Amino acid sequence: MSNLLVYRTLLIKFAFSSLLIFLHFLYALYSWLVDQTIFKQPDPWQNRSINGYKKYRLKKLPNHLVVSVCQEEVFYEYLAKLLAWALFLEVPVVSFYHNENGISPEELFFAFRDQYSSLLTKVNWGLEFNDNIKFESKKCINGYKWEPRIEVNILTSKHSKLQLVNALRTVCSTEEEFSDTLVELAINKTFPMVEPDLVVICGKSCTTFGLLPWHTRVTEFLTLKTHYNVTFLKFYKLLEQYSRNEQRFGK
Amino acid sequence: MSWIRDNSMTWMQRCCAQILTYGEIPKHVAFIMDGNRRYAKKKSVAKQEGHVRGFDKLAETLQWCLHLGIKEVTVYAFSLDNFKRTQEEIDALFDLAREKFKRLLEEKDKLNEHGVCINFVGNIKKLPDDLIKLIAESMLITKQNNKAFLNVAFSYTGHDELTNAFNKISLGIKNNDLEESDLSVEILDNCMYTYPSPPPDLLIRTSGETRLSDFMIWQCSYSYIYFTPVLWPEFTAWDFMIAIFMYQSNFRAFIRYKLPPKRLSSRAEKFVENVQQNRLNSLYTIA
Repeated sequence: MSNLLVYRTLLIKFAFSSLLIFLHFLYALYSWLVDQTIFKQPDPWQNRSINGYKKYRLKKLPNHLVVSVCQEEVFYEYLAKLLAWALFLEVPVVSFYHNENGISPEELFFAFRDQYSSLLTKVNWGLEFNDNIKFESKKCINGYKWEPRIEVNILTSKHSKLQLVNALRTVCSTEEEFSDTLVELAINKTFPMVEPDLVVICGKSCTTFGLLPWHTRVTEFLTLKTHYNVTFLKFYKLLEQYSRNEQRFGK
Repeated sequence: MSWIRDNSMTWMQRCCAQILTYGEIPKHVAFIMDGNRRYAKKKSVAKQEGHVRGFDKLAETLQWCLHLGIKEVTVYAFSLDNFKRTQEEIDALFDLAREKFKRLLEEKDKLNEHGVCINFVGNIKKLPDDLIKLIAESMLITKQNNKAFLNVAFSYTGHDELTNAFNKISLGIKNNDLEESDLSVEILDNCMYTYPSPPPDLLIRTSGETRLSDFMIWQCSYSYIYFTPVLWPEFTAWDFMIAIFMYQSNFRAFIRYKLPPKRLSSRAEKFVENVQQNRLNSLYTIA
């Protein structure tokens, strides 16, 4: 009798678990289908016209855009594309974040140079880009004038919770009591950084992976399922969504 | 409306909830209950009515959490930034809080029977005295319970929490209770208002905003954040279960970063213990 009961509970358990697994499978299939791009999509740098500029004008732009690629293998070709599109839409600062230092500055630079060498005059290579890269970039634009319109940074594990620990280490022996502004100052001293306005999280899960905890208190988080094969329209839609959102700051 | 109420799920919802429990269930869920005023505007009722409905929804949601076996819930009730609102609205919000906290004290037996521990996180010094007293009392009468935990973030912002932790630690260093080698992510973890609760696994924000608005910015590093366009008073058990479902299909992306916390040095442990003891003592003096 008790055996029968055990079998019955086991059977129910099995049925329910498989039902749940099946539901998850259906959802995964659905989101894969939604995400397929059937038609080839344009790159605005390739077919530029006055119309193109007008069409993609946004009401509000992020001052600092962070692209977080913690959940995926990094494809530099597409990061370079994102960078070029951010430049096209006139975003002043772009950073790429990986919580385990997974982005190589050299490869990003080479990928950008190979695809958009004419745009090198407009890029200022910032955090994590060493002097060799900056030198190489200058060499490539030889003869043209360097007029940077976009700054590129790479954010690493240093720019997660550890950032606050390091800031604390440098100021813990100061005499005064801390206030919000004093902590802010301390952090700015160790890591000068514009607060990101928009973080685009690449990958399935909407998770910050510890990105700049102090700076992201009112940052918008939007998700992009993957940066692999990303199209300009998908990227543009994210920025459009950002430009529609209004901040209230508690009011 | 009471803090402990009956489960409002329909049989269909209970059935789906049953299926969900065969997957991974988050241990700790945090809520940003946004959209009460927009709800009031939509229904053309007074703002206050929106907040009252918001509270009712909270009580309802807590039951759903218990039903699904979620042991810990943190809710963002009042932000320090909300002090920027009109005095009239703030007073109305505090009146509602007073009424609900008094109700909580009256329901002491019911809470203890269910084993609910209530914890207020935030800078309570900035609140009116009578509210502080109510908060301290409710924390003390439920502090021995351990079956379910409800953390209410009241007069809270993440920046304020971090600043407070910075102050405690730098004081510890000045008094030689801590050494510079003790500075780590873990010691900051242990000096947060929310200590000793684990970081949330799932954060749900209603009303379509896609920000954290200074809520648990430190703790939510490896949480799944679920944004939904539904206004908080209209949040249903279905919405809640969809959030859990989404958590289940995503938690593998970050679960490996949720390591058990590293052990602190015995000196640092003693320091943390002292900080906690001080906090408890100050509650006793207030109550």
